[in-house]
Amino acid sequence: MTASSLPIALQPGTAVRLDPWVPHFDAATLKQLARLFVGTAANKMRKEECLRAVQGALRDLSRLQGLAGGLSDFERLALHLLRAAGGSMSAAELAGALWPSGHPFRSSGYGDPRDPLVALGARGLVFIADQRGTYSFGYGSDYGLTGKIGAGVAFADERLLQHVRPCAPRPLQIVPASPPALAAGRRPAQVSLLLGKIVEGIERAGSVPLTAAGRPTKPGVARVARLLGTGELSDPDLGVALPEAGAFLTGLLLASGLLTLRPQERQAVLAVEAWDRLRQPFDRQAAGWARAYQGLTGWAEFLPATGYYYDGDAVYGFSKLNTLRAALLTALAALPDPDGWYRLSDLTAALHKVLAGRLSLLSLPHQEGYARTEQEQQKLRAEYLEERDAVWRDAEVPWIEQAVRGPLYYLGLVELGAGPDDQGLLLRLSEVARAAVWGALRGEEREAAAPPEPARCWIVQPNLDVIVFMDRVSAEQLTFLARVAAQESAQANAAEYRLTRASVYRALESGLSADAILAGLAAGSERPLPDSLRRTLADWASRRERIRFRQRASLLEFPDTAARDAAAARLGLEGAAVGERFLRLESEALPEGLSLSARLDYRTPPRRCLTVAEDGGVTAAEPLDLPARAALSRWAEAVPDRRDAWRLTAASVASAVAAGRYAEQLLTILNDRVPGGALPPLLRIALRAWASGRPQPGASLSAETVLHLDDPVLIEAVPQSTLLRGYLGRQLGPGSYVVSPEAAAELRALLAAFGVEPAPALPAERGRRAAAPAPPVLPESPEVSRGRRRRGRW
Amino acid sequence: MALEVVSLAGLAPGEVVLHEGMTLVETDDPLLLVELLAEPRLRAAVELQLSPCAALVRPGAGASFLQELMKAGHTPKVSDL
Repeated sequence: MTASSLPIALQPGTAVRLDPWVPHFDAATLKQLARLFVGTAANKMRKEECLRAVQGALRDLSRLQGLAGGLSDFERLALHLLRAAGGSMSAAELAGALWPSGHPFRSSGYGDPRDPLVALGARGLVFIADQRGTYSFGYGSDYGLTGKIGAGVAFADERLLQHVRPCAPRPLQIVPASPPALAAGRRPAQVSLLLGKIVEGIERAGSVPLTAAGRPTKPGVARVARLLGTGELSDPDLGVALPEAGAFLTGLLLASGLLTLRPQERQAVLAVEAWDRLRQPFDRQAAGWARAYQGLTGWAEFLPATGYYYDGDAVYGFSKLNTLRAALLTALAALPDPDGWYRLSDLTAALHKVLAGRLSLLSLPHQEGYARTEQEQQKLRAEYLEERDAVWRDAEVPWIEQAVRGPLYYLGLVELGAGPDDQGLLLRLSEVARAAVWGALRGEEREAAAPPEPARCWIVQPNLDVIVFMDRVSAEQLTFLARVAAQESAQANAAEYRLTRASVYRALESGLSADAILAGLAAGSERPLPDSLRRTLADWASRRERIRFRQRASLLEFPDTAARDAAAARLGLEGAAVGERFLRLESEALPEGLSLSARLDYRTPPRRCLTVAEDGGVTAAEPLDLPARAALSRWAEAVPDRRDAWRLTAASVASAVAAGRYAEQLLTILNDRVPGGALPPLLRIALRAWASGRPQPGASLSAETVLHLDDPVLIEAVPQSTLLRGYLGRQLGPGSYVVSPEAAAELRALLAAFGVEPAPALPAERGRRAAAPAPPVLPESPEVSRGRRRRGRW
Repeated sequence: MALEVVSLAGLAPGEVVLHEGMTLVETDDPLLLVELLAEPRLRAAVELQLSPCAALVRPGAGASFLQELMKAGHTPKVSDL
């Protein structure tokens, strides 16, 4: 065994050539690999010689053919599975697919000798890489007794895989059952229709949101479930159910590649080829769904109630489910008669023989203990087997049943039946699964029965309902209908669609012409299309031509009409005139010889090129975009002889408001184009005030009379006076009171009556008070001074 | 309030300005554009009218404009350029 790191991260489904890997292999690995091509002569070779031998052999067609021709059945099956998966696949799935194959293998490598990947690794045929590019050779992964499954990717050289002939698993040792009295299965068209509906729903939504860990969010999965209507898929009468259908379908689309992960954008989007894949013949689609089911994550058929605790997130890293699915699919491919009915219990027992003790959803018991005698050893062995079988009954038996009653049924891979005797649940491969699962490992291109050509499989009614006969419709026809009509209902024998203005509009928007829609409908129709359909389609198509919505148009602006027309003629500009001075270009490429004064991109935020002064002056440092120019032309007065200057005035703003505009529109335009995004605060106040026609509240400037008492004696006496107190208003500071203008004369007279003669004003002290925030001190008037001197202190 | 076709200050002789990445709505009939812009939600997303049959949708408001347009029962032909 050896392990090393390579800067090559490998994704399942990737074709691999060993050339960049082999220089990193150590001597033992290279020697083992060289033995594949030169036999025991490699034992005497040094590392460099082995490397050259391997590199040469990988380029030598005859040696590759020779190696492929000498493979055992077990090895052929393993390499055929890798080839079918695109060159590499999850090691957990490959191991699971090989266990029930029935082909013996012999391991001379390190590790668990019952591990098929150990045997393949020891031969130098298959390698396992983890996501960091580390590869292992000989050990395989850690399967089996510990129950741990690695997350590696198994791969082999694609040039070798090209020469490997298919190999079927050995038939399971089970016998067919009597045909059931009652049987049920999903038609391929039903499956295609269901998945098409989900794909269409995701297409409309745009994406499925992802968490930071790159997994579909719960709301995203719930949205997928809602596309099913009820959110669940189940039929209690038939005893079938697909619990958490939203998670299953999301996982299936991800595993199939129809949904592509964009972790950076935290979303999964439809693959470009999604609809093309749904147009493939049903049996090819079925092969893809089977592979996707095997590899899907984030959903479980069944998890045992005891043992580990699996929360929703943990299911993503739980590759044992993928191993079990791969084993189950191989078991289906190993059914002795592809057309026969089998008891589920027999299939489960056959899987028990190859899986029990190797892999379980629960912790496997340990076959340990010291036995002194043969009897004790047998007893320990019996206890171990009993414990192991109990684990199987608790975990794998219900898992297999739920897998059959859930995903395998709903993906149309198996048909289920019951009776006539007490045979329990019966199953058989569906017609598409006979080709996609059973035939694929035998290299047989067993095509599902093709619908009659040309398939006349629907009727278009005058009310624009389309009745589709599910037994005759092809995948391509269903995809066409999904494109042009809205699905109303779907049963096993018939589905109902409706041509609506919205559905036809979507079809037209997707690139179909009205003629193509009519031709497609006519091709599948049992009867001539109703005349009303032709008229209605023509009407809907013509309405679409009346409004054009251009998402990223380019306009050239010229000084005037003459300049535009002259430039268009001179430079051969292709476009349409818009207004008097604009030309909308038909393509993104700019014609040669066109010299631009400025280029403004409306997909990016506007340039901050405006200077706005407190007095309302606006200046542009560079050419402005159209919204800004339009706003300034509406809200400001142009400065004469300047094309880059405007002035906001009370009159210009009031005029714009009178024309029905809102000041917020102007403020947004200006804020977006001013450096720092802030207008002068005073101008902002002014704009609002001008626009509303109401002065901004919150400031006051009064002409009230102030009684200022300078003398401490007065400061004490006046406020205490019952005669005078009523004249004093708000206190501004020590000895300063507001006096209402009406009462000022009375107060003055009263004060005079008491020998106080107030000075007429507060001269020259304002500046001093402003400089010193201390209590205002008003200058003494000569009269007050004289009075004080005359009367002395009271 | 209907939008008037805006009269923008012209460029100097010889100048040519490219405005790219704009969202435009065009109709085959001036009255149809008037009818569209009479709808307050559509009107709110339109920045200015460039001609009797063409209007500039406010940058960033294209998706909501299109949604409102279709919600109002119109079936516009959507294109990039």
